[in-house]
Amino acid sequence: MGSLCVVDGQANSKTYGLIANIQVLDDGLVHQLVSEGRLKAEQRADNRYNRNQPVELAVITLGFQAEGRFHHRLPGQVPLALQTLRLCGADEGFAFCSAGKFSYLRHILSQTEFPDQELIVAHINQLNNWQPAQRDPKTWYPQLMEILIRSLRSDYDRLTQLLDALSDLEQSWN
Amino acid sequence: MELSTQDSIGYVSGGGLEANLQVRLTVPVGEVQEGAFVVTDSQNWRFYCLVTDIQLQALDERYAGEVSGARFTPQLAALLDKATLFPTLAVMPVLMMEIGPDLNAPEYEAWRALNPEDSQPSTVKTLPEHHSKVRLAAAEDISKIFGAENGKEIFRIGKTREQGHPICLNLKNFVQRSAGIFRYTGSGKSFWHA
Repeated sequence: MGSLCVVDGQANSKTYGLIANIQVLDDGLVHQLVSEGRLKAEQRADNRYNRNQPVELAVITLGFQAEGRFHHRLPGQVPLALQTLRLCGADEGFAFCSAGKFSYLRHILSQTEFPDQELIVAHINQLNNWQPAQRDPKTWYPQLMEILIRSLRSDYDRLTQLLDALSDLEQSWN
Repeated sequence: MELSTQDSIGYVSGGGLEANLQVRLTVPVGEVQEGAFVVTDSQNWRFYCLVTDIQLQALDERYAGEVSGARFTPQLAALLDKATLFPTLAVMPVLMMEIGPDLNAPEYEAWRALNPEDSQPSTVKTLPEHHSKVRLAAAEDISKIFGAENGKEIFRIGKTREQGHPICLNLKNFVQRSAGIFRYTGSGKSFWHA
């Protein structure tokens, strides 16, 4: 959850998004096995590693790339069915996020379906993990935080809860 | 931090002719003192103002009530304070003067043709626009109001408290009307008059 992902579209266009939820869909066989009572270790391992269980991802669209330029607004078209979703690498992820003024964050903050604070914290942690040594000093972090604080400063409770979580995260980096 | 008189110290954020103007400070509160002369240019006018009050404001009182550094990391606390806590000035506009368009603006020539004489400060009849930048008055601004010392009829009687700009008195104008000198006992009224 919170990972940046991308769908490669037509004519070198790309749609970027953030994984907001991962859901293991209901599986009748698991229900049967659990109701059986005693479950052997090999049965457990067989179900975990040898069966394809349906897993569904929810992705918040953050922006797109067209004609070589990144945009932090929603694309004009949704990705076509059966197009492949892949995780972003560090260089591509940094290039998307740092193009402009982190205005894609509004897409995360404005949705109400998923826990926005946890998503923001996970996203910032991914950016921090991506940061290679040559990008020091970490200039993106205060810029991003300034945008977040400005966006949420009229909502005291929401902002301070987010800053509590980010303070914990910052301490884990040291 | 030493402020130049060209540096903006804040911008107009509200106010009125009867009430003072509100100026949101963009420099540390200690950089400006009550009683300072400040200037703001808006459209074709320059406004000469006096700082009458300094206030500490918060976007939400809860931001001011809790020391953020005790709860968040120093970096986050500093960013939060910067975005939510801010000082403001109450500024009394006293005089205004038409200065015309910017010297480099294409419309300046036409304006100058209509206004060949330099205008003089007059009482305030309008207000600067929102977000007009405010700066500390320079020596030239003070001399525009009080006159520049010339060793004859215009002589120096003191200086501004903040920046030490000379304040002069035009004797010719002074004696044209009745005048009084008010100050507490022992402050030098008789000496000054003599």
